[in-house]
Amino acid sequence: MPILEVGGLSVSYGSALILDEVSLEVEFSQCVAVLGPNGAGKTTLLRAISRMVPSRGSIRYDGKEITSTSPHRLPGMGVVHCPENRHLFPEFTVMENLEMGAFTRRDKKAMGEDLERCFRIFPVLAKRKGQLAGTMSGGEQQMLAIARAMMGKPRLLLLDEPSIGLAQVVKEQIFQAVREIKGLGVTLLLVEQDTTMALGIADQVYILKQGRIAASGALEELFRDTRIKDLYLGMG
Amino acid sequence: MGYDILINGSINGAFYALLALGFCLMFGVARLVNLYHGSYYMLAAYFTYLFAVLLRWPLLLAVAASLSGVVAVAILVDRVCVNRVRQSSIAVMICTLGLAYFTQYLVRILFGPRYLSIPAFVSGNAGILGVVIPSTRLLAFGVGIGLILALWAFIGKTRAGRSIMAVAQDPEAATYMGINTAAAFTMATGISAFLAGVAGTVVAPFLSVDPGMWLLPLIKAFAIVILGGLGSLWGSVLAAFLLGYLETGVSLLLSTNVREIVFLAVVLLVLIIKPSGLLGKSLTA
Repeated sequence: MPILEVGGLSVSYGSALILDEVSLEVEFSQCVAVLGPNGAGKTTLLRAISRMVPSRGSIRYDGKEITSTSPHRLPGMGVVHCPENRHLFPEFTVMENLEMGAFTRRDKKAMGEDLERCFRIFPVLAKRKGQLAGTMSGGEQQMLAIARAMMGKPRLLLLDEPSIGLAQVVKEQIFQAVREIKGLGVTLLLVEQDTTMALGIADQVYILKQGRIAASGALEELFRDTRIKDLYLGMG
Repeated sequence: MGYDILINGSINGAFYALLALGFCLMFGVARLVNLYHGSYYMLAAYFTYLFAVLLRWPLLLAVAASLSGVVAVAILVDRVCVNRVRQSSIAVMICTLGLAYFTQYLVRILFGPRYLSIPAFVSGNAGILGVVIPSTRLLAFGVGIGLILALWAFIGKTRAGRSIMAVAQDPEAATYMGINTAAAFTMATGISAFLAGVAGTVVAPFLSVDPGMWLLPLIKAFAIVILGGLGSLWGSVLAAFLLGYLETGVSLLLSTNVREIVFLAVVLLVLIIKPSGLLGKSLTA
């Protein structure tokens, strides 16, 4: 059974239809990438799944319908959203941000281990524990955002554009970290614009265009289809 | 004279801090300018009058009931009014100001326009550094400092406190952490009303209680919060004590008639030099 099943999901802002009957499935401990151009509705898709925007259609997590679940209940259920633009707490230190990531957890001991693990994946954060999040560089902020999400002990991590606006070398660091997180058995729903990066991790790919799924499939299948490759993956 | 300013200024400062902290908290957490804030202060005094004087309850019980009443009123005002117009800051201001006047006239109808007095916990005088001060004022100071420290510990150390601070910085991010932002708003509303209510009950014994008593404290709380830097709790505390010393100094050295003008002039001056206030950050975030 897939950990996440989205069926016929539609989102509108006023009269504009942002997502039109989107359906997708995420299998346990896989990485599913949603690719597509700017404005295709990728971020809205993640925000709908984490119940930040109202939607029609069904969203089943762990076999349970979550469309009427309040967004703040989801982290406790294992659905953690690492949002676009990071949304760090600028006036909290790195350490305080990480603590906020574990807000719903009570297992102090495991939290300590997860903290160690975050510092192993992102050594720079260990050095910056006491620094205010708002004063860090973009790459460090992105690392903190991912680490903070990991402190929530996700079973399903919704990762929105982790590489946006970062230099190539930092992007590679971030994706190395995402690969490590996948290796920990965390199921990932990744939204990306940088196709090359995403394809290095994803097991399954959905291509979103103007609010609809334009193509989907396992990575190899999509690569075999030269039309898709040319049109959507931008690697012709 | 120096000790006079120091001691009486500290007492006034603690009182202003109690008033301003709640106002600041609401602005920080919900970006709300709550012009009903002074009314919490007034209602606490009138509730105490009702319970302690009219109903002759024991004072401690009367104060506890008054504070509960003020918190209940605050949550009610939030639910029926503020919450519905939260998107528009102008609507929130108009709505809370309207309610404040409504409350003033309601209180005037129920209790009459005359000055009332309510009983104090302690009587007599105490001497510190050669300055003789009424014991009620000393008690007000102790309670004020105690609550400021308690708020500091609550904000910094407790889960609930951290969640309020997280919501203040980024409500959306707070939701992603699993924080119920609506609950955090309600909690901040309750704390804010409680602090202003305490100011009303502990200070009321040495001030007079009347239906117009909400306005000046509201203006001062507003000015303090702007001086301290909108949203900065410790900036508010700093500004509150500054106001306390300044007012006491001006009253003693010049005249009580000019103390409000002097303070507002200082606020104006600071804002010209540093528009974000003493400890304020830019408001763009």
